[in-house]
Amino acid sequence: MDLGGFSMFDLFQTEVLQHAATLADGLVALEQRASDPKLVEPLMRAAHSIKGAARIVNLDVAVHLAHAMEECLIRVQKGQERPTPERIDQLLKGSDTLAAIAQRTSEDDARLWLEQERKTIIALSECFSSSPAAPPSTQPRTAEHFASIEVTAARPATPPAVPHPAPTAAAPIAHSAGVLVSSSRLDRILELSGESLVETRRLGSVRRTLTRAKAAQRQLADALDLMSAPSPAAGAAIGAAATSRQALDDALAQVEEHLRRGEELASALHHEAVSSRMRPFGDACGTFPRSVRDIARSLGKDVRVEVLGEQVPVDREILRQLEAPLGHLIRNAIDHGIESPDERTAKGKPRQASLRVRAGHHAGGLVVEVRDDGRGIDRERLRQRIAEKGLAEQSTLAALDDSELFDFLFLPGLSTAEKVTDISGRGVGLDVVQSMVHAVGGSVDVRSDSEGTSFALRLPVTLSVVRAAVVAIGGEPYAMALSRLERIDRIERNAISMVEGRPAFTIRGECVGIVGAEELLETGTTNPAPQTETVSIISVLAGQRTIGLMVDDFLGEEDLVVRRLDPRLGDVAHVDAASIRESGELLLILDTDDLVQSAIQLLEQGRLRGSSVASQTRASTVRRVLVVEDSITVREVERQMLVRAGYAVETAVDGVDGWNALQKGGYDLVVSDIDMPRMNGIELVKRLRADPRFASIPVVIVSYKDRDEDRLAGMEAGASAYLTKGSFQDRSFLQTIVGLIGEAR
Amino acid sequence: MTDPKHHDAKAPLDAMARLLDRPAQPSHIAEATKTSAQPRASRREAQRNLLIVRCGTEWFALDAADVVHVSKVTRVHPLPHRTTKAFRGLTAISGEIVPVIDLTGLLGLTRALPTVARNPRMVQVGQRHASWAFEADEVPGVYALPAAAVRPLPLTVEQTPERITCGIVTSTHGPASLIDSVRMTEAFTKAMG
Repeated sequence: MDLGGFSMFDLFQTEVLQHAATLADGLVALEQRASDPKLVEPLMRAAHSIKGAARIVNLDVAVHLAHAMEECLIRVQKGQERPTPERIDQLLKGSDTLAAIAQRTSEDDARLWLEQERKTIIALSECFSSSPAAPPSTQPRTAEHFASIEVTAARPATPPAVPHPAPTAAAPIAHSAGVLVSSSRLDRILELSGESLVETRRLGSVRRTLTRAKAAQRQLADALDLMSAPSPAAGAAIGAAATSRQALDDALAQVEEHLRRGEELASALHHEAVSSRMRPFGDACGTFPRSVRDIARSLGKDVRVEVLGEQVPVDREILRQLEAPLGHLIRNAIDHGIESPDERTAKGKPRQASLRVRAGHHAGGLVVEVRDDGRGIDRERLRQRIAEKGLAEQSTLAALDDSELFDFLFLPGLSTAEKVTDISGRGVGLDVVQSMVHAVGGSVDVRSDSEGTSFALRLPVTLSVVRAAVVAIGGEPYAMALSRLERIDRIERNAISMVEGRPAFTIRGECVGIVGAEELLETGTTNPAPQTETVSIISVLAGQRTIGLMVDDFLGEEDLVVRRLDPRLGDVAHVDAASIRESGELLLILDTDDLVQSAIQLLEQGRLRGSSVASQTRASTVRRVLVVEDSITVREVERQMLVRAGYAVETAVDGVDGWNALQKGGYDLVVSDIDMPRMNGIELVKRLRADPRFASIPVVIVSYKDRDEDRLAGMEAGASAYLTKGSFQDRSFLQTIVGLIGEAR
Repeated sequence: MTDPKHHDAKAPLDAMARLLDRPAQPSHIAEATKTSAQPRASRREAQRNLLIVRCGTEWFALDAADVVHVSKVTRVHPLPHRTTKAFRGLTAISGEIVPVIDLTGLLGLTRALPTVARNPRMVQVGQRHASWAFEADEVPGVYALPAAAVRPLPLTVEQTPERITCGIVTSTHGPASLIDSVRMTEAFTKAMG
């Protein structure tokens, strides 16, 4: 990582947050295994490093605090002092304070804040030199202030910037030490590795050329062999042919070897680049021991947290999104699931409860489980609660099995907590968990009995690669994630039947309505794909029913590396992401759910023609006319007449302007004057006719010139009709247009 | 033991060393000091590296610092609901996904007649990961022009609020409008809608 662009304060922030995380983790471990002096060593080093960093940026109050903590830790290491829970509390407050300094937005901000908090922090520093029996809570203001810091720090939503305790300068660098690499650099590596794969594959065409050359060379050699008359020339030719065959064979072998090796290397590189998006699951768990301890202590419970599968690789995007739901499940378990120590003893359970967070790969997916050994979900109270909220009838509820009943847990606003506590039951229910899981295409499974409760989140291993159906729409490739599709059928165009003027096809006895994908996407393709005999229908679930999206063709299934759309584009309707195919060609990954939703909306508003499936496809539902006219009065008259007749009209002030407007496409007809500056009407018509994109668009010329030779010139250039401006009076203007392209709709 | 050959070989070297080690003459030092003390600009005029491109019938100049990459023309994928006359869609340039601006459509340029020879190139401008591409009909290359050679825009263009140029330079192909980096960024961002 290039550190050149960072200020000293940036470096201070990064370093202090790293060491504060080490302190927080280590202190919790120290509390549980007080007798282990090895645990103290890294804590001392962390405090020492923070002291050094604070000294460099001249934050003397922070230096003072870190120094006091270091001294205290030295005494613990020497056995002069025992790490009592009170002492651990103080040390944790100290590390929180240091982290809080590092979280200020700027150096000035940090100085200001330190000035305000100076007394409190000095008081905290001083309590490290005294015995832990005199905690800072004897000073009311101190206690109040740090209580608020503690809440902030206990929230897993604000983890330290670097979750893994990084090695300090003095420590030897661990074998698998992480390094800081900016995500944009990783993305660039991914791009380039993909491109190198594409480029390597281009060698394939060289191989094909060589293979063709070899076949031709063989024919040549055979022909030479047949020339029976022995002559010195023939002999020399046969010799040359043998040499050239050898050279071709060698070249082909070399190219093949190069291609094979290059492909192997480029694929391996690409694979590595893709998997660099993966992070170990443990990265999301760094704050758990600390937050569990704090929550449990505040609720008077004793909980030990165990994280299993810390090394399991998880997509960094999923990991980021998992943080809030996992934190919620943990708070939920401690608050609702786990009993108080006395209650546990009465039940014959160990006083200390166990909370287990486990990640693992299972059946091609990632499973993250949060399991407690508490009292389990009280089904009766849950039923009561659901009935109270009016979410279901008592009679229905009685008949529900566990999985159906537990589904209600995820409804917003359903809290089974007796009272709202600080820890959970703040109106934010388990619905946040479910919405995150659904957003990435996963599911939640709940199991519960008197031995405890488990929430298992089933998630995709990666969001980086998606298995998708690649289709052609309007001549361009698009992809749809396979997980969202019901089925894909290639059908004969004449198998499409009409139901109330809307196309449909019958598959397995169900009549499925069809919507043209091109119409939904409004890509504005000016040259619609030629009508083919067959089309492909992608069936997608729309609620309980199925809807068919018609595409030009189904091109196959591919594994696509998902690339986020340029953030500068903002949200693009119907498009989820982009990807680059193995051929180097760009395609867009469609948001299938969004497409279906739009289709239904448009159908409800009666704005979808649907009949485009049977007739020539067209991007818009209203016929569009371009009026090219330099006189503002005539332009306005023409525009108003056409708008009143229901056409969509756009105007241009001369031939050049008209030609430019045409480039964006989608016009059904052009109305043009002849005499105009820059480019006249005749030139415009000639240019239209010369361009295959516009050759078939009807052009109506409207001019003051009514001599025969003018009319002839217009028609010869390629106009479809020639009218004089008098035609506005006798309706022949509109009639001509309706005759050429039909009514507006 | 003396070796006459050895002695012969060493003598010229010694002479050369003496020559090189001799103190410099005061007049030489004074002259060299005078040369070094000259302001840099007067010794060599400040240069500006400009990429010259043709779009339609017009020539443009881009500061080389604003150019990321010039490549062969790549296929442009239209973006649903977004493609306009100024914004063509997205393309892949050496593995990077880049939005494509239609400069001719954006500025309302006149397209060159089909008879004019084209040697089209994709020009990627901006900064990596915040770039755009546009198709130029011809890209003759980068030329070093004196920084002082930028002349003001004609008044008619200068008064246009949406202009992306900031001056005129004379290239070997005739006058070229110098594209202003800030205005270009604004206009291209707006075109992406």
